[in-house]
Amino acid sequence: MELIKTAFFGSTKSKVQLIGVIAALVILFLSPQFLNTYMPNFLAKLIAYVVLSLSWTIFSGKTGYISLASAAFYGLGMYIEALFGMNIPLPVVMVFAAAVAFAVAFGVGVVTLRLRGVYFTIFTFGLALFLQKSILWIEVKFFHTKGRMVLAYSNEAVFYCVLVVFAILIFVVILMNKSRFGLALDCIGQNEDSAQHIGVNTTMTKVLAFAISAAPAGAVGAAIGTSIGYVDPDIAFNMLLSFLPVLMAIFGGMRSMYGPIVGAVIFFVLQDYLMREYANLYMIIFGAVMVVVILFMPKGIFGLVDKAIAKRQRNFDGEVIGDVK
Amino acid sequence: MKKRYITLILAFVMVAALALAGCGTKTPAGGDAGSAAAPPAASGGSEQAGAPGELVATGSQSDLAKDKIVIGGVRSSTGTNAIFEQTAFGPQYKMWVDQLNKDGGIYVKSLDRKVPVELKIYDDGSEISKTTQLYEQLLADEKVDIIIAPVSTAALFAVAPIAQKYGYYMVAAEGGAKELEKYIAQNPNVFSVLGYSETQVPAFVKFAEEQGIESVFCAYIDDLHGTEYWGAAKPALEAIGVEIKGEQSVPLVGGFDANAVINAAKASGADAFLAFTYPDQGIPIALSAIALNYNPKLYLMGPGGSYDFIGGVLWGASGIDPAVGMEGVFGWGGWNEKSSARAAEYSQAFREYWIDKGDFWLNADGTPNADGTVYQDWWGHASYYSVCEIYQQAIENAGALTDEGLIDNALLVEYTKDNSFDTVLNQELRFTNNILLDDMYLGNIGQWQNGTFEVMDVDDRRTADPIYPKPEWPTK
Repeated sequence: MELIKTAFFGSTKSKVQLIGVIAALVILFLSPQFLNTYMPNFLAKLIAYVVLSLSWTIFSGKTGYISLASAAFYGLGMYIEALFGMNIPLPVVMVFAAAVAFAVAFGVGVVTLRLRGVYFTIFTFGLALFLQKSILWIEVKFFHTKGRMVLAYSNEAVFYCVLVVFAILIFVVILMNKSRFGLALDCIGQNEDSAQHIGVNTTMTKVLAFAISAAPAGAVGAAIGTSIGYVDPDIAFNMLLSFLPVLMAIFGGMRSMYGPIVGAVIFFVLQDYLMREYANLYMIIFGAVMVVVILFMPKGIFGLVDKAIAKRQRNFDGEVIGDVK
Repeated sequence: MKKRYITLILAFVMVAALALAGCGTKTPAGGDAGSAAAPPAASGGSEQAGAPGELVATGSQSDLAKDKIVIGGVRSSTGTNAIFEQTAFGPQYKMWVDQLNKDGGIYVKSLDRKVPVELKIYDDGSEISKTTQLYEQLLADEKVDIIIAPVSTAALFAVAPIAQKYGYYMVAAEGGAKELEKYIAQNPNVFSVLGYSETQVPAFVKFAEEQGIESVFCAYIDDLHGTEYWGAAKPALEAIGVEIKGEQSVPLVGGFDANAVINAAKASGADAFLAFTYPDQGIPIALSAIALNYNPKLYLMGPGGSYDFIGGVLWGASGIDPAVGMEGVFGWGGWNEKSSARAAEYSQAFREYWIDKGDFWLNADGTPNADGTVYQDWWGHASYYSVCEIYQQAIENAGALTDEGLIDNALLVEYTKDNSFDTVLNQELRFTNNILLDDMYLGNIGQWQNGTFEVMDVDDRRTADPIYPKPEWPTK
């Protein structure tokens, strides 16, 4: 309770943040009333990207452990919807998918998060491939098919389901940032050995954060699966989705909670526009944009915003305020 | 202070993204942006009730304003499935639309005049998540008049519920699977034309029984096509006493060792080798079979085995006449210019059209066509062009506009359910539960003989006597 008070009402900044977040969510909630029938579909996928990016940042952004398991958890969610969605309502399946993703990530984390550096990254990438190939083998061997039909829901239903996941996630992230748990993750990111020395149970903290970051990916995977209509292992475990959250977070900037959100929004809109208008050049243009961003904006878009704000304050106050490195 | 800016920026970005996405897309004149996208019922007698006691002649206004019919589609111009867009349905719908427009457009019954046709095609890069998103955009946002189907069976499965959701009519070309029967029951606006395991596997089993084939080895692709075909063929062959000497799956995406597949098949000593694979896998497997001199009594290539250019791909570099190299090789589907006068007429028209164009087709080695040679697909092309004919005849006979001024897709669905079509595939083509039964096809299995893909079905569709066992691969 104390944590909630501090996180949301502890200072003027917290209150402004809370009002801003609620305002954004209300705008999103009401948006289908003012937009055509395609837009909820577009927004649902956009928010799914935001969720993937933000949830990735919970663990990897703070600890510095680069996870490439997003596709695994997202794909698990899709497949769980394909398996159970015909008989169970979507929100229930989403909760179940989140729980399964959490459990799988927890198990994987216990085994792998003692590893550091590139080994963990390789393992997480392998996880998506392992799940893809295992499910494919089961489908072919036992069901003589490759994929499954997924019950289609209206664009609005999918949009609201994804929006709820986003709303929960954003409040969880705000709470985490103000909690001892979030502080422990920050410590691990800065210096894991030091974190251990000051009494942080680093392995358990990392495992728990990894599992928490997996749950939203599983939930939105289940929801988005319904808008695809048919899921097979190649569709569900799309390896591109392992890299996209990383790129989106870098694109937006990982220092703030808002970086991955803005990164994902711009990334998705840009991707959608290029894909439609310049299909043949899409990947070239997209790749070039990413290279430019990484070379010249290593702290992402929010790094630039920070720089601009600091410059403005320096001009105003005559001294440097904030991180302008 | 800084956080306030950040919050404001976040809110601004979200609103801007919404505005950008919303502004980039427009609804057709008269459309209601907030309403459900399903095309409403036809305007019928061109009058509609407005305010009480008032009749508003909206239908006739729409009729007069209709200056084009927009055909939307999401096709795989790039990525894994690009070969199908380049060689399968792609050349058919492009030729059809071009020919229609040269002739003034497509005749719409309710307008009693021809309306030019415009294609609006997006590329999905062979990624199904993009396919579905782009169809949502075409149907819900851009509101095209009619849609053509996507490339691949999996994409068709994914798009069928979307077409149904928005009330669009769709006749599918490059997808076929037993599972589709289940999908179509739930998505009755979708019709499937291409032959699939239920029509083709029994034709092969009958042939195997006729020729006394005793054993088979199968390499099948690990996607819906391969697993379903092998899932159907294996028990059917076992039921007639054919021994399964081996089976091996090959991946749809990623590399595999074609030599290992052929060595396993060779070691099995099976009479027949079946490759239920796409060209991307079937070609390297066939090249390995030639290189390792693997000569089973029957060699069946999956999709791609019926392409005219397949002989050039396999034999072009060797200097051996492709027709000699392909002698005796089997493939799915089957039709040729002997199948019917209508088939011959279409085949010649197709060649003439693309020779005239000269800038599209590929040479045998995959390079752009320079000499005007045009290649047929003796499985799919008759089906694909028939899809175009079905769309055209449905609009000619049942075309009417909705209140939004779009082609009323519900009327096309009803017409297609209840009527027959004069097509290349069958001059009285009729759907049964939205799919075609075996007798609607010109053939289900074929064999290369002296450069012609002869129909080998064990019935009166057969166009030549079978060659069994297959002659050995030629050597120089």
